[in-house]
Amino acid sequence: MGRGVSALPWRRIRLLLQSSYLSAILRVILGALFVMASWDKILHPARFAEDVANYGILPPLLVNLFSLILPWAEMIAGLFLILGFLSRSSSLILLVLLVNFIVAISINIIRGSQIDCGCFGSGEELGVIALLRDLVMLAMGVQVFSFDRGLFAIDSLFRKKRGQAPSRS
Amino acid sequence: MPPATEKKQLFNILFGCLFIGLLSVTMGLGLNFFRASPLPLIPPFLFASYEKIDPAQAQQLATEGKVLLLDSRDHLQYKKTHLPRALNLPIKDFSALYPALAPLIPVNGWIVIYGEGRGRPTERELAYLFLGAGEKRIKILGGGFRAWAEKGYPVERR
Repeated sequence: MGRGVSALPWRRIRLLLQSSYLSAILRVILGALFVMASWDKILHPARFAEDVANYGILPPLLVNLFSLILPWAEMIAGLFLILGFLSRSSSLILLVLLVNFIVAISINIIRGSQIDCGCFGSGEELGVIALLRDLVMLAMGVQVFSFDRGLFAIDSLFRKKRGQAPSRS
Repeated sequence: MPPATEKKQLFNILFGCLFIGLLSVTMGLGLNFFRASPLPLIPPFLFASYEKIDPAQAQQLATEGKVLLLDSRDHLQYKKTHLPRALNLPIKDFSALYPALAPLIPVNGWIVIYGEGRGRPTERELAYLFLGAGEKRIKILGGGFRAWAEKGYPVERR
């Protein structure tokens, strides 16, 4: 950006994007989204396994194992994010999951397959909206992973006990 | 920040990931074990063996009228394009439609099931349901719909 050309205060926007207060908010939102997403899958594993199989990406041998374990990873990492417990690990796990979701969704959009998204458990059809939603969540996850300093988090309690400074960078 | 601390931090993050992963495996598999109708860890259709048939043989059987062709893909895929005179039988409709199929199977003939040939192996899942229902005259079209179409055999389009 050339100085003086743009009226937007880029420095402030960058500071806002890197703010750990924003991280605290995004942490809770992202965590809540994943807990919501996992709930229906945990209750109805057979239905979720159908959706996973329809993606046609995992080898059939792994479909059921994946369908049983993935919702719990979403649930646990989501809860931990909300509480601020093991925040960086939780956000890393969710980031890896989101990248996988994005790849899987893209492949099926390219294939032109008309299948259920299986994203939040409802009978939502897979489409570009699901892809965009995952990209937004990916951005949120990157922010949390990079800039979260444990505000309003359980992590910071442990850190203070050990007498470490709360700052990371 | 000194590199030693950074390394330790990375180790902590990965250790946390391992912890969350193990917890998920325990919860997922453990809870499934106690469910009234647990999901089988490995889908049972993978253990069965199926007779295969290649497109040329299937075409031969079809001209002799000795075959009932079944499309195991979903209804939308079937509507777009399918093998000539094939009927659509998605997996979820099996129990509802199976009784109506018996009179359609030709005498001394076969049921040939095909899927898309990539992605979900619906043809094997459907064949497994047939075997479970006691129907043994089942063959699977090797390569599925894609192999059939790529080899230039006729297809019906909407």
